Parts: sequence; C-alpha cells; structure tokens
Amino acid sequence: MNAPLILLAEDDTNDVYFFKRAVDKLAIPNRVHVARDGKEAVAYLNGEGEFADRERHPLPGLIVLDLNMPRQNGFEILKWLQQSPPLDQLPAVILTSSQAQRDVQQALELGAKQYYVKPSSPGKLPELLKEMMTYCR
Amino acid sequence: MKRDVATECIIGWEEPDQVLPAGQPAKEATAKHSQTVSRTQTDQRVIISAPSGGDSVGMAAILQAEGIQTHVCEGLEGCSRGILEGGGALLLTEEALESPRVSDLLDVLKAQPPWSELPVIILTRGGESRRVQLLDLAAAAAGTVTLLERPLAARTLIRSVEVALRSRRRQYEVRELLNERKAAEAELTRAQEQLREYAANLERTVAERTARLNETVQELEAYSYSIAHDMRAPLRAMLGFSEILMEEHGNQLDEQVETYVERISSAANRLDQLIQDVLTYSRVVRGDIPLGPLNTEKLLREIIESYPNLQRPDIRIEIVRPLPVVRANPAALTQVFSNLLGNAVKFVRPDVPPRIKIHAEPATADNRRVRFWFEDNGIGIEPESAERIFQMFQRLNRAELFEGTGVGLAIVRKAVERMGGSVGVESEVGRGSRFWVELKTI
Repeated sequence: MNAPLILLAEDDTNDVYFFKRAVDKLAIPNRVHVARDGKEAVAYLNGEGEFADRERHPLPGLIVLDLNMPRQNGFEILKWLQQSPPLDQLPAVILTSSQAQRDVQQALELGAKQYYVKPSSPGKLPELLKEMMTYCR
Repeated sequence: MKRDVATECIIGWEEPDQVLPAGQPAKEATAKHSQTVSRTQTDQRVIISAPSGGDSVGMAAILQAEGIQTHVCEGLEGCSRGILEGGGALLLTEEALESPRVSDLLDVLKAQPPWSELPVIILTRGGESRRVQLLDLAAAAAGTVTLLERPLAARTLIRSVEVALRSRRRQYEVRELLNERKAAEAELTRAQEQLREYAANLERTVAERTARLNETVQELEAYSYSIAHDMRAPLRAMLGFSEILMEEHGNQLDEQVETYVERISSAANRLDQLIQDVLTYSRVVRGDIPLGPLNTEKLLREIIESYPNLQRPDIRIEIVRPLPVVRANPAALTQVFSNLLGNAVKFVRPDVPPRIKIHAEPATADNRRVRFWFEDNGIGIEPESAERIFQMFQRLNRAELFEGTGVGLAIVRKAVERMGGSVGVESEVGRGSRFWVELKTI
C-alpha cells in the first residue's frame, strides 16, 4: 500500500519548490501532485481527462490549498468540495500568505481543517508540514 | 345672469392672498403696483345710487362740498361694479332697493374678503314698508348697515358718511396687516421649502460622497490585501533561496559571497518588515477598535513575558504598581505598549543595559484620564524632533546603528488617538526619553 498522495494547489513556483523541499527534508514517503491553479485542482479531484486514470492519479489523502490563485481560488475549491460528496470527506488545509482574520474565518467556515500562514523562512516549513500530515488519511 | 356677477365678485375683490410672490418678473410686479395705486384712488369714494337722479346729485353735492369723493351710479348694476372697483362706503335710497338687481348687489356684498365690511347707509322714508328687504341687506353686509330716516339734515348725512369712511379706513389697515402677514407667511413657506430642499440636497451629497468614500476604502483594502499577498511572495523567495544557498553551499562560499548573501537576506527582511508594519498601520487606521475596560498591568506583563525582543537577560523593566484599568482595545493597546517597550530596549548605547520604568498618574483632576509614563535610559531625542518621530517613515538614526522602518511610533499615535487618547515625549539627548500615553479611565 502506497503512502497517500498530497495534492498541492499552488501557483507560485518558488513556494512549490519550498514545499517539495520540505517533503524531502521530512523524508516522508508521500508523493506530491501539484495543481498550478484552482481549475486544475478541481479537474484532478474530478478525474477529468488525463486524471481519469486513478491508478496513476489517485485521490489524495491531503489537499493543501493556496488561497490566492488564478482561475479558481482556494475558497472556491473549498466550496466546490463541500458540494461534491464524497469528495467533501477529503481533508483540506490552507497554506497561504494572507494573515487576514477574515480569510481565516471564511476558510474554516468552508470546511478547511486548518489554516497555515506561509513562513518567511523555508526552514520552518518542514515543521509545519509535519503538523499538516496529522490531517492526512 | 346672477352667476356671472358672483364670478366677477371673486375675481374683483382684492384678496390679501393675492400677494406678489418673490421672484415674479418685474413687469408683472409693476402692473400690480399700478393697479394698487388706482385702487387707493377709489378706496375712499362714496358710491351713491338712487333711482331719482335728483337725490343722487344732491347727496353727491353735499358730500363733495365736504371734500369727500363720490361715485354716482345709475341703477344697482353699476353699483355692484363700482363696489368691485373700490369704494369706502355705499349710499343708497330705499327706492333703489326696489330694483330686480338687488340680489346681485347682495351677492357682491356677501363675497367680500374677510377683512372687508363695506359700510352701507340707506336713506328710508320711514314706516314698515321695506323693513324685511332692508334687514336682509343688513344681514348680507354683516351688520354695517346704517338706516337714516328722511328727511334728514345735511349735517347728519355728512357725519354718518364720515363715520362710515373712518370704519372703512380701519378695515384697510387690517387689509394691510393681513397682506403683510400673508407675505411673511409666504416668505416663511418659501424659506422652509428651500431649507427642505437644501437638507435633501445635503443628504444626497453626503450619501454620494459616503458611497464614493466607501468605494475608495474598499479599493485601498483590496490594495493592502494585494500587497500582503503578492508583494510578499517574491520576498519570501529571496529570503528562502538565500537561506537555502547558505544551508546547502555555505561551506563552499568565501567570506565575501557570504556577506553578499547576508545583505540580500537582510534587505529582504527589512522590506518584509516594512510591508508588515504598513499593513499594521492601515489596520490600526481602518480596523474596528471596540473599546472596553482593560487591565493595563496584566497586559504589560503578558507583553513583557512573550515579546522576543524583550527577552534579553540584560533588560530590566520596572512597573510601579498599581496601574489603572483604562478604556481601551486590547489589540490596539498591545501595539502601543509593545512598540514603546521595543523602542526603549532598542535605542540604547551598545554597552548600556536597558532600564525601563513604567508608572501612571491621573492626567485630570476628576481622574477621568490617566497618563502612563515609559522612562528609559536610552540615547534620547533632540527636543526639535519630538513631534516628527510620531510621523510615518520618520527615522532619526542611521539604519546601520538602529534597525527600523519608521512606522512604529506612527502606529502608536494612531492607535492611541483611535482610543480617544494622546501621546507625547519628553527627552534630552543622552539622558533617556520619557514617553507618555494618556487614556480614558471610563
């Protein structure tokens, strides 16, 4: 049995790099699939097109969402998940640069398990990832 | 026929409410004025009607000899018209009332405006023959009818007419007063309407401006949001890759390269701090700051225990207890106190361990305001800079001596002001600073 996949919805290539680096640092066996915007994340979760092959593209054990993304933002994905059972059972967390209380509240109301602010130092990311993984199923 | 006269009556009588409205073209005003002038010429005349031409002429002659204006009419029809054109009194013989047009005359008298009771003098032959008709006339003219029995002395006629004209002049005075009152009322109504219009305009303007302001505020909020999100992302990359570079290749880099990397890092850090400070400032300026009772002693302890920059072992902070409860907002006052404490430990000479003393005293005799003092042993501030340091981006020291964005005290002042307080500093170079914050206690 393979370790569950992590679906990362993130449009910033640097942040993607830092995230993958944190996965390596933590030496966890989970694969990471990166969706470069909200639409692509939804397509992946829906199994559309090339993502139809669930052998190669299994449903993730954890969804990590940036909030501010092109085409479809993090909130919209959370909303869509809520309305798309059984996908609403997949745990989703937020990893964003926004510290606005309004965003935190809205994300949690829309069913996010936890809200993380991107650390200014990538050295702190592995620790954060370790905590995120407690939500992974 | 009768109806025609009645219509004419309403048009004919000069009503007090036919007052010139302001703003009417001058041409009409002049026309009205000339009409009033001609009216005053007819106002004093005695209108005379008697079927026997001799009676009319005789009476007119007697009155004219006394300087009284007269207007002799043939028949009651002319009489009614004469009244509408203006008259001071009406003089009739009993025989004149035998005319079939008497009801028209009654209509004219009944249609008089409220101020008007045209005095009517009737010369009777005596006896009961016309009594009923005369009483009718008396009722219509509202009791101003005088019956004079013939034959009568010229003196009696003159005297009665003079009394009638005097009464009529008093009526004209009432008319003037009514006109003035109507004019004043019209002016008042106009002023009220204008006021209502102004108020409505003002409300509209305020609503429009508020809407525009809200729009601007929303744009600004979106702007700060975008700063927080988009501008910090590249900074995070700069910091992150500098860090990775040092971590993975640090041992291969010569000292010079290491310095460069550190400089990149520190510049990025400074910009990141600046962005965060500006965002904090805009939150303090714009955000909701609900006020409530706040235990300042507890708040200060929490800040001193938890803020990383206050944890150096050489720092000593003394709180002179008790500190009062104030009316404030926890988040805003935390900004205020943490910034003041942070400055106090930062702006000291390198070899001097920071010493801070915090105490409070009543700021007003009624104890409704209290002043907190933060006294330090720092480098101090030149008196002429005391005001400038509370402004945005004002720094008094070179960055390599003391790091900072120049936003901290601007945040302090704004936060204190939004809680209804004030802030200031007393200082001398080299002798430390005494910052004070004044807040409401209730």
